[in-house]
Amino acid sequence: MLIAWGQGDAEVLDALMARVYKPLRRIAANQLRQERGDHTLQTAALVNEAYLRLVDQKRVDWRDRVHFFAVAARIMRRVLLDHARRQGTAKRGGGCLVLGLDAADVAVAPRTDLLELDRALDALGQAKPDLARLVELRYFGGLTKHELATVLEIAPATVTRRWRLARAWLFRFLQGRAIDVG
Amino acid sequence: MSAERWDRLEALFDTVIELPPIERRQKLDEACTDDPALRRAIESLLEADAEAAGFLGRAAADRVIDPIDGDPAGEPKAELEQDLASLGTFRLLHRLDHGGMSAVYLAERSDQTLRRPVAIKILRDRANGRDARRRLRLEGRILAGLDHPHIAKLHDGGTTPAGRPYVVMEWIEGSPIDEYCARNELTVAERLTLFRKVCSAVHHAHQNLIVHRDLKPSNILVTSAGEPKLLDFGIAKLLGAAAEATLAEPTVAWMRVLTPRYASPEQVRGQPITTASDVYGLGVLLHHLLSSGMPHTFDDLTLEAIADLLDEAEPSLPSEALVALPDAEREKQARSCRTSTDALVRTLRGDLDTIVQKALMRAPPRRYETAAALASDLERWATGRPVKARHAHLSYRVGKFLRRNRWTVTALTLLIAVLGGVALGVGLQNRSLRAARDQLAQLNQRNEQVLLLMADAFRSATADDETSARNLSVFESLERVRPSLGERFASDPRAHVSVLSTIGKIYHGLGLYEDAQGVLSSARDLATDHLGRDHVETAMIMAALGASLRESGVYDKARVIGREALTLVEAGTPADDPRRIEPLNRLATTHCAFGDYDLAEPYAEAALKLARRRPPGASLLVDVLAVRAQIHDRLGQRERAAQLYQESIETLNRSMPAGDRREGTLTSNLGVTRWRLDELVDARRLFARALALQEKELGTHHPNLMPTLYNLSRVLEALGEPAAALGPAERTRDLLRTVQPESPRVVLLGVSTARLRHALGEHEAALQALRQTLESGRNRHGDHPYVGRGELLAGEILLALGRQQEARHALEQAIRILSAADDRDASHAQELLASLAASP
Repeated sequence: MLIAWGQGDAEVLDALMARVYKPLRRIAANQLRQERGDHTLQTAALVNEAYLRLVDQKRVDWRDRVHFFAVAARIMRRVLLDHARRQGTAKRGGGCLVLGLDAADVAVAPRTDLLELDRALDALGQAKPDLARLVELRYFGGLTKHELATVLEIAPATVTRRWRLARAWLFRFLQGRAIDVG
Repeated sequence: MSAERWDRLEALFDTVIELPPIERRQKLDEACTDDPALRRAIESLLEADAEAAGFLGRAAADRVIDPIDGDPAGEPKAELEQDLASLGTFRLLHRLDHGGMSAVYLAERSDQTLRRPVAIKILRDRANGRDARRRLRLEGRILAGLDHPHIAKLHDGGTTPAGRPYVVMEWIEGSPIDEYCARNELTVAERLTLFRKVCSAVHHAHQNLIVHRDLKPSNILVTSAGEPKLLDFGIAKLLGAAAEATLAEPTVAWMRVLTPRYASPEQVRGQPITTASDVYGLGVLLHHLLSSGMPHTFDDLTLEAIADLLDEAEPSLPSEALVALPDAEREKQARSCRTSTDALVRTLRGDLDTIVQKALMRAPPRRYETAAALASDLERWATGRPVKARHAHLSYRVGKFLRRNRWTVTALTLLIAVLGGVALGVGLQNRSLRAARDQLAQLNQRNEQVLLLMADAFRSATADDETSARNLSVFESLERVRPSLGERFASDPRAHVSVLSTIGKIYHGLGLYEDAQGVLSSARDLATDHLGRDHVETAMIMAALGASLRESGVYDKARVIGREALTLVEAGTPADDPRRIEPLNRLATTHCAFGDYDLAEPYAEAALKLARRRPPGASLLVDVLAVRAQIHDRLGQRERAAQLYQESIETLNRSMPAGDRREGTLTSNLGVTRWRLDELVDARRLFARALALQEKELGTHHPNLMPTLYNLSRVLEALGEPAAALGPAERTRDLLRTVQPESPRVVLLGVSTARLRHALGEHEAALQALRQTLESGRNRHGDHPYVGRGELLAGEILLALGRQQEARHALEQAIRILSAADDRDASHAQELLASLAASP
């Protein structure tokens, strides 16, 4: 099945998504609860775990793994966003332990504002889909430079330049200074 | 933006991103003549690229900082050798040394008939960009001009065809200076003679504006003729320049180059390096040659931890380090100096200790001005003349004590004098009492400034716990003198008001809020009678009373009185009267304590604006900045909050005596703000620093350490360091258990520590601790949601241990408790249980 998708069969992708999504989601939920504030840290471990559960390890080859991560990255994005939305408008400093001593503050771990990042990534996807895909793979899928080079079929040095471009664009967008030359 | 334009932008970005700034501009000038909008877009992106270095960096987890930009894979050695050989000018003989950063080869020049051996040092990382290469060439030329009998000559340098920087140096055959001294059993005097030659070489380089930056025994070889030769002069900078060009973070680049054991505090901090940094390095070396120990031990510490250690801890003296050695080591060192251990300790103790200490001063200006000055002080010692360090040393120590204790001492003596100058039996010697009276005679008894200064001084200089306050005997002396105050000041009610309000503020500063309220109420009544209710002084006393009420938790009353006080002060003063700052700030603080940040904001803002126009005393300014920062933080304006916290800390460090306990609190709060800005590493550094400050002021078991400890553990956990997080987490739990055993948060903290142990793979230990926590939690709090969270964790641990039946039971408990409490963890527990049901 994975191999079929690797060859570009869109229907198989959907089927795979459906099959992958549920267990991934459960594992994600499991992990997120442990460190609700800083869930992105666990991304790679998370996807790896799901992957190992789904795929017969003996039959994995490199290409499959890369393609799997592409799917997983998409799923992770969805899982994490669901989670962020579920937390809804819970204030950023919420859930913290306030000991009520002196003036010292106690905080909860901050989270990268995923909802905003998602919006920015969508906007980038509209303007330049391949850059958005790269960010998704790297940020949500946890792919390394060399994995990215393989899956996107570009040189590792190009991955780095594209990543810097995408990151700079998202950075400006999130600052409310989106770049558009019309 | 159309796809076509995006492609153009991408192609141009690709082209310019790796160019140095000047060439970037030229390229953009050429490429964008017809398209200024594209140029603006590119420029903005290039700037953003620089700003966004850490952005999204660690998101994908892997706990590697930006694996894309920093592939750590080392180059194979053969590649280095090939690279050097391809220059065609050298024949490599063999490798002398290799480290993470560079390798050193012994080589011969193949283009010269004279076969003189040379050492070639080559950097593994390539120097990117023409700028970096130009800098390398320039530095190389400067170094090549350095000519001194004790400095190894730099012949040549450049970059290999593959872009790696290398330097060619005179090849020195010799042993590291510490080994040489030990092997040849040099006496202390002989060691000092050798060391002074090293100083002269360093001084020569300094006069040529070259700093070594990496003085350590392996860089100082002694030839068989007994002459020291310094290697690698300025190489650290040369290579550092290349490293800076290849690595995003300059400090990291530095630390890859130099040796932390010999690095000065400013080097470790990544601050500017001067000749004083070499003086420090010489101090470490001298210490080591004399004692065979080191001024600091920091094996296995992170850079931040080293930096903090250098900030906090005093270096050991050579004699101390020697005494601290194991017996065998100490005897070995004494033998190698051809003397006995007792004699060696005696030799070091005193002037030599002092000389080393002066070289190792934390602040660069306090060290010897030059390496030559260090050498001549050693010469003075050798010839039995008084050393210069001695004088500076004494005044430094005395000065330090006075600076630390000035306010406490002054305030105490003044207070007691003000209160009647009678012997109060608080341990004051007659002489200090007389001194206090003399001081007082010079002051106006009714000088409110002095009294306020005292109150401030107490607030900042005393630890805020009752025990130490009582130890100071201030409390007792006040208790004793209070009943007689009315009589004493019967003829001068205004002075009586001043004294009462000062005593009230002192009580407040000591954390004795109810005592403060009693005295301040009397002061207010007296002031109302004699000055009138509308008088500014009366209002100021009311504001203080409000603050005291707030601190003891009487919020409603505190708010009413605080508001009233402010209204009265505003009515009695012109618009920009600085006296308004304090009641404004007090009212803002009261609203904050109540969680009403929206209500607090206008007062805090007004206080800050006024403080900017009419700066109050530093102490009040610190408070105003801190309160404003806190409100910014709570209202989500974190950048601004961080700036103001920073400013308040700087103000405090600049203008307040050392040991102000607010520094710890402010540093901790800044850490929280940085954390909320996702700057986790910075937050960790700040929490660690705050903890060190607070431990110094409050001891290691004070309840006020709890927020900092807890935050430190959480940030370490978030950074993926559960092992480091465990210690502070357990300390928090233990402290809270001692101070507030009835608090349900004891349960929460118990669950947190168990979770850390679980994360560390200590499942059984985690489970055992968790069960204890849950048992006492259930007894005290029944079905508290924290107990539910504990059950949930128990379920997870049991699952990890493969004990499904017990896991099921724990999860069912968790769901029952958490659902009843409408806790959002309930659904997580349900999912986990569902997955358990689904698995075979």
